[in-house]
Formats: sequence, C-alpha cells, structure tokens
Amino acid sequence: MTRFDSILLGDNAFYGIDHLSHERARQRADTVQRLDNIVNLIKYSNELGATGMVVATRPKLREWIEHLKQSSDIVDKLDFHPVLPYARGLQMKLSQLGIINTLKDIMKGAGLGTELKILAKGGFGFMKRDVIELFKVFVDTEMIKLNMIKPKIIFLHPVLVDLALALEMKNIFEAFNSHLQKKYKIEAGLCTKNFPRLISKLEEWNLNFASIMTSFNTAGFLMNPSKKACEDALEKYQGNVLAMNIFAGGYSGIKESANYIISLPKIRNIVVGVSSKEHAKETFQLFTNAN
Amino acid sequence: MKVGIVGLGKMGLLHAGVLNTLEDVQFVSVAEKDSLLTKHFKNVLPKINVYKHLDEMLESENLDLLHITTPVVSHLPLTLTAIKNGINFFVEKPLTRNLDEAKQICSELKKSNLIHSVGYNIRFNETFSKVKSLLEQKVLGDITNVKSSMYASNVFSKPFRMAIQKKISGGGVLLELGCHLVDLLLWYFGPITKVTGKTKTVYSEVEDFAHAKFQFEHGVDGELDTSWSKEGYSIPEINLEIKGNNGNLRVNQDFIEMKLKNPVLEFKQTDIKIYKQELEKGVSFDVAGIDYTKEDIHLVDCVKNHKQALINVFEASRTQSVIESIYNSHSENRSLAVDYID
Repeated sequence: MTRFDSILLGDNAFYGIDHLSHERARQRADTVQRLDNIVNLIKYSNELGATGMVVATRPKLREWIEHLKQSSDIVDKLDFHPVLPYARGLQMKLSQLGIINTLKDIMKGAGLGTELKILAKGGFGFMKRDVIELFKVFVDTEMIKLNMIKPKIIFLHPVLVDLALALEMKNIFEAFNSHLQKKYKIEAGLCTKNFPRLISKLEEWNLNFASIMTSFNTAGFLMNPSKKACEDALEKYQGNVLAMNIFAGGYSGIKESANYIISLPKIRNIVVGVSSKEHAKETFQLFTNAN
Repeated sequence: MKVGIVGLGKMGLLHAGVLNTLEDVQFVSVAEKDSLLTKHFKNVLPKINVYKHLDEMLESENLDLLHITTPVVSHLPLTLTAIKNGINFFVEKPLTRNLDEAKQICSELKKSNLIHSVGYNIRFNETFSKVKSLLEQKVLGDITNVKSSMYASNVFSKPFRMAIQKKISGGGVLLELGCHLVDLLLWYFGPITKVTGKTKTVYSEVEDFAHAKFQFEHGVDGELDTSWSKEGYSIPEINLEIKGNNGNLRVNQDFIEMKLKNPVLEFKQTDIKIYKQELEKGVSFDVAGIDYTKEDIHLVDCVKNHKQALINVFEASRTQSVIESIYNSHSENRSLAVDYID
C-alpha cells in the first residue's frame, strides 16, 4: 500500500523530450516512440500503479488519445491532468507573430465553436474590450483540444503562472479558477518555478487552487529561490502539491530521488516520466512500496 | 530605484515581470505605441503608469533606469533619447541594425557617465559562464581553435513578420541569433582581427544561413555557423567546441564536456561532464529562464553602485563590428579586417 494519493505518468518521454540534454533528444527524434509502444507503456504503468497522466496540450495530443481509445479502455481508467497552454508552440508563435496576432491566430485555428463565439462577441473587436474575457476565450480554445478526455485538474503552465505572479495579476488567477469551475466543472491547478512566492501570494489574495505542480528534487533544480525555501514553504502549506521534476530532469539517480521525495511527508502526489517497461518497473516499485 | 520599460512585446513583458520582483526596484511605468496592449496592461496593472511615447514617460517620471525592449529598428532613436535625458538604460540585443547606428550611440555615450547594458543574456547562463572561468584558469591550456554554432527551427517559409524586411531588421539570422555566438567568442577569446563570411538567403530578403571563419588577435582560429531554418531545434541551441593544448571542451545550454590530456587544478580525472543541474542554484524569481533574472539583478546592482555593466554598449558594439565585417566579407567575396569603434 503506497502512501501516495496519486502517481501520475508524464508525457514528455513519449515525445523524446530530455531535460538533461536537448542534443540527445534531437538525436533520438527519429526514434520517438511509436503510438503502439506508448499505449503499451501507459497500460503497463497503470498495472504498476500509475493512477493518471499529466499531458501537455500539444498538437499531437488528440492523435494519441484517439489511438489510445481505439485500442483500449485505459483512457477511462486514468485521471488526466492537462497543462495548458502548449508553451513551446505559444513561444514560437509569439516570436513570429507578436502578441496580438498570436492570439488571433490561436483563436482562428481553434475550431468552429470558438469562431462562432468570437463572432457572437462581435468579431475580434471584443479583444479590445476586456483582457480577462480575452484570457477566458484563450482558455476555451485550449479546452477544445481536451474534449476527448475528462480532466481531473487542469493546470496553467508556468510560462503564464510565473509571469502573472511576477506582475501580481490577481485577476488572471481568479479568472482561471472561476472559469474552469463554472463553465467546465473542473478544478484548476497552477504550475510554477517559484513555489514559495506563489503560495504566499495566493494566501494574501485568499485564493485556493486544487493543486500546485512544482519541482522537488535532490539537486534543487528549478526550485526558486532555493531548495531550502521550497522545503520550508511546503512544510507550512496546507494545500495539495504535485511534485514534478523529481529526478531533476534525469540528473539524479532514481533511488536517491525516490528517497528524497519519500522524506517529504507533505508530498502525496507525484508525476514521473518513464521511457521503457524496465524503467517503469524500477520507478513504480520504489514509489508504490513507499509508506 | 525607479524603472520604466519602453516596448511591451514578449521581451518587455518578461523584463517587466523580473523587475517587478526585485527588491529595491519600483517598476513604475511603460511606454508602448500599441493602444490595445497598453489598454490591456492598464486593465490588469492599474498602478503602472502607461504612456504612448518615451518622451512623455521621461517627462513625467523620474526614472533611474530604462529598459528598451522594442524591435531593433527603434534602438538608435530610443537609446539616444535615454542618453539625452541622462537615464541609465538596458537595450535588448542586437544593439542596432548596423555598425553606423552603433557608432552614433557610442559617440553620444562617451560624453556621459551613464550605466548601460545590452541583452546578451547567454553570458549569464550557468554553463557558458562556467566555461569563461575554466578558460581563465587555463584548464585547456593555450587555446588553438574554436567552432561555434547556433541553430533554431523558426523559418521554413516566407515569414509573416514585417521585421524580416532588411530595412527594419538590419539582417537575418546572423544579427538575431548569431550575435550571441559572436558576443560569446569575443568574451572568451578577445578581439577578432580577420573575418571571412558567407551568408545564404532562402525564404525572405535577409539571410537564413551564415558561416564565418575568424582569426583572433591572440592566435586562436575560429568558425561560426548559424541558421534559423534547421529541422529539429524547437529550442534554439548553442554549441561550442574549443581545442587547447591540454584537451578539448564542448559546451551547450545543458552541459560542459571536457577531455583533458593531463589532470589540472580540481579536475583529477581527464573525462569530465558537468551538467547545468550542478551549476544552477536558484534565483530570487524565475519568470522565463534564470539568465534573465541574473541579467537584471546584475544591472540593478551596477546602477546602484555606479559601476559599468558586464555587457555594456561599447562591448556590444564590438559584436556589431564583427557582424558587419561578415556581411561585408560576403558581399565583397574576400576576407576582411574587423573595423572596431575606437
């Protein structure tokens, strides 16, 4: 019996993403896992104790969810935890189109439903009125990519969370939380690289989120302002934390990483990346046997 | 310290975020011509004063530091305005569209004692700054050769952006990405004396590929290769391979790899790999990469203590000189000496 409430499977490894070496990831790009292998690995991880998945709203998400649904009933067994928006795609668009044209481009490409909504609001002219309304439509366009699954919690990506936090945009956090709950009846979560400051601000603003996804690892990788400050903040925090980057992007050993996470009793939810059955077996054994 | 920003694009928002988290910094105002952006900014950040033009902002605000994060086409007039008003400033890279514009800024700056900085943030990246100290410690011995590359997967058709027009951008991939390589090479190995350059334009009116060979003043031979039209680089990737008489070193944003002939200093082994995870130790706040936070912390510290920044305009003008020489070498089809600003 594990002491963890949830052990989630991350999707980065399926796309060949490698936080230790982008060079290695690029070299492996031609051998990125085939859909059948991904399906088998997800099924196997579920047998070993994976209760759900963290998925990015990448363009390929729909393709492999469809494949997963055709070949198995596994989709109904998993709690999905999507992270939106797909940051790399967004950053590429921002570089090429600028902020306003990026928003227009995203919404134009989001399908008929959103286009009708935009038309109902008087065309793109509505963008001039209210930035919060604009943000909600942006969330709606991302939600279209998720209509094949039932998400448990939807997380906002750190690229937006940390910018909004830095600029103290309380209304963005309020809008994300209330929009997901009211319109989709789904809980909202936040991803951050600045855990102590985020929970301090949420407390000040009296805002509660279902979960905060943030890095905890022995190396202190992506733990700002420091590993110690993140550990101290975790001690005091009353809400749910989903620990990510627990292997420091592949830098720390599996056993050392597991021992560290297990030593933090407030961490009851983790996300892990696995690239093979052997890797999955080794990883899940360590966490499912933890108490 | 009161700070303002001119230009609310991606980089403007990023620096606004970083600055707003720094102790002793009051992010007070923004100048942006796009009324839609300013309206939305005002909507979510009512405490920040918003202006349409930099002149208006400088008239109304008593700024200690100005961040110029507009497209390169406006760097010359905006930096000259900052200098005229006696405001310390940061300007995003590249400094200018061409060497002539850089000369005008340097000429005006020489008459002032302002603090200034240019956004070559890669110098604050942990792996690349570690290599600087390894080179200074002569871990590789005397350096003989360096190969450098920077690739991205951004341009595979005629770009949408107006900025790709040469009169607006001043150049293509060499000026936008390759400038980071030139800045690193000058930082590591000192002045480049001779350049042989080739560029290739495929998708628009500016170059999509650039290659250059260098001779450095201190005897090092070097090469640069850059493109924004190379498949497989969803994140822009920098690679340097440095050869010395005590071994070789390879560095990118993820790791440093060294193969030494003889152990030296703390390196008792000859095969060494140092990952960024070993080097990165958290920053006060990470908005979109710790390099940017470190860059702004460094500049704020320089302004507070009135000391010149690591990458000031005069340093950045040397990068501009090398880039201009590569373009000229290509068009004249011969090797050229680099003409630095005095």
